Amino acid sequence: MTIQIYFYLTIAQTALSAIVAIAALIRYRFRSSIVKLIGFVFLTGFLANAASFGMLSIKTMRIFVNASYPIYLIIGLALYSRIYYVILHKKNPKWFALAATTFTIFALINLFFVQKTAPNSYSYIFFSAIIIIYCLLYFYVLIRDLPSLYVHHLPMFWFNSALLVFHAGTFFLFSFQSYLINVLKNSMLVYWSFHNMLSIIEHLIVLVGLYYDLRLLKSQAPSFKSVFKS
Amino acid sequence: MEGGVSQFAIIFSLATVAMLVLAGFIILFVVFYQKKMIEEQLKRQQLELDFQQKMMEATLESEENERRRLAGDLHDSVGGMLSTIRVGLTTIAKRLPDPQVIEQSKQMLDDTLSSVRRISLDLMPSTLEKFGLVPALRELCDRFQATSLLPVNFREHGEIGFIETKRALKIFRIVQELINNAIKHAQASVINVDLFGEEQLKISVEDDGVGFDPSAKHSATQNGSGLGLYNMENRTRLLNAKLDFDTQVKKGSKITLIVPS
Repeated sequence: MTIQIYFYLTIAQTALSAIVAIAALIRYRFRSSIVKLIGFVFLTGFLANAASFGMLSIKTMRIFVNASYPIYLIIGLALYSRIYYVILHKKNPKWFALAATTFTIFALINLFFVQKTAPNSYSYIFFSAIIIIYCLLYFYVLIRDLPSLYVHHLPMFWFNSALLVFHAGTFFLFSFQSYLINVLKNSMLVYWSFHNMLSIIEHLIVLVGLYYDLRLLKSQAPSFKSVFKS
Repeated sequence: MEGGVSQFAIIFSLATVAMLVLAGFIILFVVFYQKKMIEEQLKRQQLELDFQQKMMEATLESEENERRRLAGDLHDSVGGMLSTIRVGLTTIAKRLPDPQVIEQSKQMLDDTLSSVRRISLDLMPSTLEKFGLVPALRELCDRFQATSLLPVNFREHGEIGFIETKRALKIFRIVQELINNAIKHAQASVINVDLFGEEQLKISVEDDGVGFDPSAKHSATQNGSGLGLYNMENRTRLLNAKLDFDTQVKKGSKITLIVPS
């Protein structure tokens, strides 16, 4: 594993974030609030990656290269909390607000006082744990409500599967990140490339969900043209 | 140190793979479990629908049996007795010096006899069971024309195949209700009943009356005020047929029953 391959994977992941954001935000007026929020999450991801690349290219800023990710995590979790609050029938808003607020406070304390400019792995672990709980809750509601015979036609099913696969796959990676950085320095690229590959898979699964959403949009709206004309 | 690192790598890899497998298993479980649950739910709904259909069929059948019994009793018992009374009256009239005194009573008895025959026929069209749907419908139109003094034209187009008596009776009842409605509510000057028998049986009842608001039809069925309409729709469903309403206020109406062969 060379640093070059690692960079290619990171660039591919960043490009996919942009593609997902565009696919989720085109025809903005007709998209559901969930898809719009998904678009904003991936837009934030893309901007965080782009900011990291930018800071990496400026010598004096290199020290802050990891700072953009905790910000992405804070915004991301607020958006995901909103998504799952809506998708889980808008029940118990306090729990979602509590999760988002607690995480924000935790991530800020971690950023400013604990891990500072080092990769904020504790925030990642917390973030992944909350997302995994959200994903499991959504699947529970899905098998309780039985909304469709063909569950794979639901865009949210794909979004949820993508998040579950990515966060389940990277949970231990984030959990042992400090150990990996300090002890397994030589294998670090392998582990982090694995993270990037999982992230690419996550993006591709989300794109499948967006494909179904666009298909649904096409079948539901008799004519976009007429709306645009008016 | 080296051994500890490789041991960590193995544990880390296994834990990650286990998490990924678990995630995959959860996703597959959701897909198959919810598909299975929905299929079972659909099966249950289908069973409930079948049960409702059978109940409806049984209700309509018992209604028809009751009508048949009543029609038979009226025709054979009441009708028979009235005929006997008429014979008796004729015999008495022959013995009276002035037979004209009971002529009015005889006339009333004749009217009662024809009323009994008409009611009996309305209750159960014997023509349908003896000769089939087309002659029964023709007779129905003739009877409606005779009683309402409104031209009820019956026209047959194409070859009408054999229709089983139970199905024919349901079709007959629907047409009977449609003509009845046209006479009662449409204020029509003419009613046309057309029978088309190509790939599927089509019967249209058309009038030039006041028509009606199609949305009123729906609300009448919903609130239970349109019992005739409700029965018609039930029979249509049991026939697996379609009732097509083509009507507008003040522009007459054309209602077509389409029965698949």
